[in-house]
Amino acid sequence: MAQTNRIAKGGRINRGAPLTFQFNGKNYQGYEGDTLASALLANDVHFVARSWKYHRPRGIITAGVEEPNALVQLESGEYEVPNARSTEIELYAGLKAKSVNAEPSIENDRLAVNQKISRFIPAGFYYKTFMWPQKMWPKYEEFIRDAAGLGVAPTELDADRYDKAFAHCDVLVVGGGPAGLAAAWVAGRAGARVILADNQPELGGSLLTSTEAIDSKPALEWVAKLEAELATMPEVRILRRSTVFGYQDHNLLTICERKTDHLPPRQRSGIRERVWKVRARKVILATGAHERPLVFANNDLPGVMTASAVTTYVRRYGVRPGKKVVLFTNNDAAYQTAVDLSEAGARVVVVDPRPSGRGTLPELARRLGIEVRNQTVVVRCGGKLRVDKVELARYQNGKLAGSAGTLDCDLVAMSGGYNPVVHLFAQSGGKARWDDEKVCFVPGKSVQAEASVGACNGTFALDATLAEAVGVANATLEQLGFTRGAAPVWKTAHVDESAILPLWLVGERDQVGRGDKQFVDFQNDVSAADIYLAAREGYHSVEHVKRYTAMGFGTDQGKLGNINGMGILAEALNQSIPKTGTTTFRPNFTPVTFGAIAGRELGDFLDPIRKTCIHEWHREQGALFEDVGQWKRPWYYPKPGEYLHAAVARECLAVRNSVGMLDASTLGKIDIQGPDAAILLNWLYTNPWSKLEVGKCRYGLMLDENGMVFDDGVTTRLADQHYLMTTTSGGAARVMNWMERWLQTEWPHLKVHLTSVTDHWATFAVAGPNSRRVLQKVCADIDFAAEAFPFMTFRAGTVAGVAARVMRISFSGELAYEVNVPANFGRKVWEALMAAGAEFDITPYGTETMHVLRAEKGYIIVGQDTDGSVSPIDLGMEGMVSKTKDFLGKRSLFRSDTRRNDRKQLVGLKPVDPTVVLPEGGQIVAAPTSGGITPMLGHVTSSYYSPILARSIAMAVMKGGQSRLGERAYVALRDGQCVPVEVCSPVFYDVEGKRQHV
Amino acid sequence: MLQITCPWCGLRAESEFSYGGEADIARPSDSEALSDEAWGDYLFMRKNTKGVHKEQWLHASGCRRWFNAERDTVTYQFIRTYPVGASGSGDTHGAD
Amino acid sequence: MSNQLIQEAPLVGIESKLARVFVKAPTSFGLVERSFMTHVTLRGDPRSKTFVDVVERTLQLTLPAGQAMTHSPHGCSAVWMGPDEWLIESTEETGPELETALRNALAGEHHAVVDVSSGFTVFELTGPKVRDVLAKGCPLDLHPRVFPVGHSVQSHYFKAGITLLRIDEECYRLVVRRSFAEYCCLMLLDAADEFLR
Ligand SMILES: [Zn+2]
Repeated sequence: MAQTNRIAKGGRINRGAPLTFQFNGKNYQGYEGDTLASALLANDVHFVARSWKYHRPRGIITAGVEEPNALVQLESGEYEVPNARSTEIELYAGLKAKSVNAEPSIENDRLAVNQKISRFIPAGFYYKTFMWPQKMWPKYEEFIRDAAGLGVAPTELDADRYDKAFAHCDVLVVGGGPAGLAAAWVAGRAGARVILADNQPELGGSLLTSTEAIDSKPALEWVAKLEAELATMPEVRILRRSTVFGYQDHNLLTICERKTDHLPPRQRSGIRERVWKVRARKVILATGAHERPLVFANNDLPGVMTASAVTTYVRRYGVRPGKKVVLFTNNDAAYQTAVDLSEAGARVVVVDPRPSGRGTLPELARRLGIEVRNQTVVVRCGGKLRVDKVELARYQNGKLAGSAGTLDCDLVAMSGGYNPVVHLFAQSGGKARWDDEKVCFVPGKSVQAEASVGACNGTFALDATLAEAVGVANATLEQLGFTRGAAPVWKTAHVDESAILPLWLVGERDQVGRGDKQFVDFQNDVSAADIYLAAREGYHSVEHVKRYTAMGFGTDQGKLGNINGMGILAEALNQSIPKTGTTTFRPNFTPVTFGAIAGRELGDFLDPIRKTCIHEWHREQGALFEDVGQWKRPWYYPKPGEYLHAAVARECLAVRNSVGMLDASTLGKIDIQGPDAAILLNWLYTNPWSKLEVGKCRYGLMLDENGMVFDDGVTTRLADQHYLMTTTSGGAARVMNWMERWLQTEWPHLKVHLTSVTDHWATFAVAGPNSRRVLQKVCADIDFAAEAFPFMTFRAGTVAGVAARVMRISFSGELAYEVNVPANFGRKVWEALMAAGAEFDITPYGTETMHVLRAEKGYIIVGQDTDGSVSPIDLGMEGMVSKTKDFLGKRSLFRSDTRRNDRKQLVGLKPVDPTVVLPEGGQIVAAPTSGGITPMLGHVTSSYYSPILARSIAMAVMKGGQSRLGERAYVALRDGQCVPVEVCSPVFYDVEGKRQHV
Repeated sequence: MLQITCPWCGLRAESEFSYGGEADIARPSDSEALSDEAWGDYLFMRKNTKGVHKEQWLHASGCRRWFNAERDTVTYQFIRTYPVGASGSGDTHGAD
Repeated sequence: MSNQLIQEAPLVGIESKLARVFVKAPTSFGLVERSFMTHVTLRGDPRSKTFVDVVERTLQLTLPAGQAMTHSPHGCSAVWMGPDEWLIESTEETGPELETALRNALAGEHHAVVDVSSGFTVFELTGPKVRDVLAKGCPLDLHPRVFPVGHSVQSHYFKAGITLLRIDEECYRLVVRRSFAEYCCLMLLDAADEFLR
């Protein structure tokens, strides 16, 4: 298909590589080096979008990152990207895109009717109209979301891989235009570690479209020379296609590097996007400037573009977007566009509100015979799906002074001046300052270690830009301790300019809202009338106006429209622009994909998966696993055909009747050494530790300073000044940090050292009446006789030939031993114990059985039966609270609130029907409910079927529970039924505790 | 992400640290003699400073030392970091 | 050592995944597990001359006072872990042997010695891309100007705590807790993926 707008030669496209692509179902041709936008314009496709609210036809308005209109849904399926900016999409073979916000097509958009009623849906319309009745909101919301919106979220799983990396440098240069290149080159040459990030596929920035010369040669030769030299500097890294999207605290900048988007999906491999987290000693911002549109009626018609965009399409892409062009400008710089268009064979009329001036570029335009109409403005565009004429007015003394006729045209290029891209500067914490002479916001005082150079600093001329960049780079080198080289001499021509004329709203202020809309924020359909309406309705803060009108929201975050909006608001309020101020520039500069934010930390990589040294054995035995904190623990070991219930019943009965073995290696273990170890334990636990003899074990409860239980476990005195503490599996790190904190910050005088040995020791609980006989078979150097090795004591010895610590402690209520061996030997010892136990049918059991066994005994699990609001008194464990010593949390146990006797207290529950297992979390009520509001007395914390008791049991916390033993209560189910239960002691089995003492 | 100077390990990324809240809150020595109100003050009342704030940090994935910092809660700038007990200017809170 | 016959290192079950990086002279990135090294945690006051003297005499090395590691002539190294903490590594003595030797030598001096040999494992990371692989999950600046050979630091690799030692120009040693070893190793392999193609 013919590329009717393609100029015969020139541009940075590869005419030897034509590419076919599809837009809205039609095939077109472009060239390698095109963007989707330039290729569409080459095919004379201007009408590419429908607007957000009014569904007005919209065209491509810019040639870069600031594009508000030309958003597309790119590709489909697993490579689908919503709201991609066609001005940034590099064309590839087979590219497929369609317009957003238009169903079924942009030509036949069913919501285009909104244009006709647009007069009746101004700013604030949704707030005012869809307020009442409240119950209608879901319906309204559905309508609003359907009608107003942009791209559609992909429904398929993203096929791409995303990555992150940290980086560090002396100097991060943001932007690869003349300022950035010069600064990077000066810094790199001195040996500094430099990262240069640029969002384009090739370096050069504004020079890619410039006609200027450096050292009497085309500027791009200078770019190529510097780029080649930078490539030879080992400490310089250049990131192309990389957008610096965030300036965070302490000079951390976040960059998104796009690595494969320029390739056809089938040719992509590896990483799509990488987020760089760069910590820079100094940041040099060289982010350039964005051209402002002008605000006149129907300025949103397809075919109305910024002048710099037109220049970019002509010079960089070899595309002439129109043949009969009106260039409307309030400044000299845009005359370059007239020159470029004229050279490309277009007829151009320049419309300029200023009187004729003597600037270099206007002079050049006149010499080329370009018609210039001074003291004239464009007040309105005409056309349906494309601009076809403009209405002009005379402009004198800041006012319209009557019609100046109309001009036919197929393209309007407009320039309202330039906005320095101060976004990153503002994100760094700096406040932008209004410059009356340059008519724009420029960076104010630096807050972090950064400096702005070139256009983003309001320095627009090339000669001044290069000088500024070299100066700042040299000052940076000095600050960072590098030796600077001789200042480079880069010769450029000086350009004379007449002053820009501030021009915010082109039209009569008292006519605002009467005629066609004058758009300010294209993406959010905010017009000058909306801003005047907001001002009339009392919204004077620019932040409030933003929220009332939606100006500055959306994917472009007001890059194009915000400053015009502030200028118009200032006029509406009869105040200055600095007084009106700007809205806050927040990260991110451009939208960042969720993939890039997540990186590789997905699925199994989301959080560490910790495994014990027996994990592979468990897996080989067919165990199912349960997540306990980050740990994988065997849950139960089903035999062929067994489900949870049967397997757990078998495992439970094996422990109660013979012997079972649990991998308890995940228990936290802390080695405590030093003469003051017992003093520390006295502070940490509620019970006294001074008199625990060497070789003995003791259970302890740990409270936070609020008096609430936060961990528990058994601690063993291994030697005179040496203890081994165990903690819950999930609480190990928390307890260690808690202990270190008190030691280091409150009691540094205590002579105690703590070492985490959780990973070093593998721990196996051998439990059941036959456990003694199993251990006797593999351990010759410990006397296991009941009186020689009593309950709650410890012996060191050799188990299966491996040095071991054996504790006689029990979490099941049975005779039981805990065998600790270094984890490297764990698998061997575990297998030796399994072999020794074979004659007793030793049964490996998992966490589910462990839970049932301990619940039968009424032993709590911290974090399951407690939730951070349960004190030892609530647990009925006041007997463990020392009266004679202070300990952490003790004072809180005597606050009036913790002494209330209607607090939730630990109880047991026996369902009246012994086959009913209560749901954990089930709410306890006093009587069956019938839909009304009933006080909740507490909730079920643990609930199981007990195979040894052949009935269901539960533990619960219940208001005043300890005085309700024997009473009837009910547990409400989700389906509305209530299960009758008897409140009882939480100890269900072997109440006298004889079994563990045999 | 902030950068924090551990007094022992030097300048490191915030992700290596965990925050410990206000510094220099001494645990009352004779807690059982305190009124509920005074104990509650120690437990719960914090200055919530706007400006330079003394606070505790733990170099959690580093040397595992707790240390003190003076940080401006408005600008996030660290004025200094120093080992616990090295400050000298004992600004106690809660025990009063 | 006879013990090695019955010991088992943490990286079991992922042998096939390791094959890609388990190479002697990697062109991009290599990872080898140095299993069964002896690790002993030593705590004590470096301001006590007796403590320092006794340790240095017993181990025949200089205790590092900051972020570095030192070596004895007999396969023993000391890695700085904190102002009163060192990780003693050995390829010659077992954990219990080293523990006993230090404990006996330091009798009467406040200290702690704990055998943690089974608690850690060591990955040796080599190749020209090793810094790039580490940079994906570790916030440290690994540039030779700030991280010279002999330097030792503790940090994190993604969500695993690590001790990182620079052994040579392109060789780092990463010490990680046993239960985090598989996670850490899989993250390293994943980060290296683009360099192993
Ligand atoms: Zn530190």
